[in-house]
Amino acid sequence: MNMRLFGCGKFRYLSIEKFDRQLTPKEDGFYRKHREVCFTCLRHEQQGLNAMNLLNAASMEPEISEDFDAKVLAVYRKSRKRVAITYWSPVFAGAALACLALLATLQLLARSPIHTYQRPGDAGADNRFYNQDQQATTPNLILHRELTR
Amino acid sequence: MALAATSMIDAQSFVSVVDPAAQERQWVVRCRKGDETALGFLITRHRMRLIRTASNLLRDRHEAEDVAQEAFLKAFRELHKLRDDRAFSGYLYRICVRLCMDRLRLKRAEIAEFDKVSPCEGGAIENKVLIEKLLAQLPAELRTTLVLREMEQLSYEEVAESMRVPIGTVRSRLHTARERFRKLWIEAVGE
Repeated sequence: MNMRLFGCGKFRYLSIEKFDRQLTPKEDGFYRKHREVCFTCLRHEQQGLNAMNLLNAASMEPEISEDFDAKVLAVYRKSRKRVAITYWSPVFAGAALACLALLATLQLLARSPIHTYQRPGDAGADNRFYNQDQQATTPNLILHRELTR
Repeated sequence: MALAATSMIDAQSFVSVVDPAAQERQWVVRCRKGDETALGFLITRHRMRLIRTASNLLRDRHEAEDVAQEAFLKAFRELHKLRDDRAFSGYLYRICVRLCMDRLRLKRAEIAEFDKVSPCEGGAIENKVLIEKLLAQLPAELRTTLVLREMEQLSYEEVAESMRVPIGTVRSRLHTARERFRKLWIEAVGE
């Protein structure tokens, strides 16, 4: 009677431990004795066993679709491409900006007075941009002065 | 010289035939270099185990395939993080378990009213449905521990490694999970 009052908790603990390890002889002795006298604990143990058996029986058999490997590889290839694009995109953006900056600079240079220079007296020449007293610094100006002298 | 090279190749192929771990290590090395054939070999080797575990954890075949695919992709993308090529199998499995746990956490536990169905009277399908409902009521950690131990038959060490928790935690979670599962089962079948 005492065993039933004070040993039920221990019995229930051991009934679960029993799934995973060998009980010591002392524990096993207690377990067997308690099992013989306590109907409630016996029922508890059987319920636990049934539940675990049910769980084991409900294990699912895997069914793999035929194209599983191909699908994984296809998605992997796509993701790699995406990663490559993400990795290189700052470089592309930088190169595009550099190109734009270069074009803008060339455009500005093309519109500057020195580069739009035409010889004075030429048809349509804009003499505003040509000053005879101007210090000849660029090779084109020097050549032109030499020729017109 | 040619003879030596041939014997080396023979030795390599011999190692790869005899030792699956060495073979797998070679595949992982080749994967790092971007060899897709090696990727295919790794997928073929591990897909069954991954899908089975994911199916048991999620109780849904299609979702299990999705998770397995996600796990493969994640493992291949983060292959550079793997320090030891021999650990690929465990690394992949851990990713799969973690992805399953994430999905389980996202799912709302469906508290269903159970019919009083006795598993002895019902067939295998009824039992599976019942198990699905019972497992849905367990928190993700308890459910994963219980499934890995009871259905997948993993050791405590393997469960601890897969879930990245100490063995003591696995032990206590398993104890709690078994007891809760038993209570849920009794409520469900009305014993």
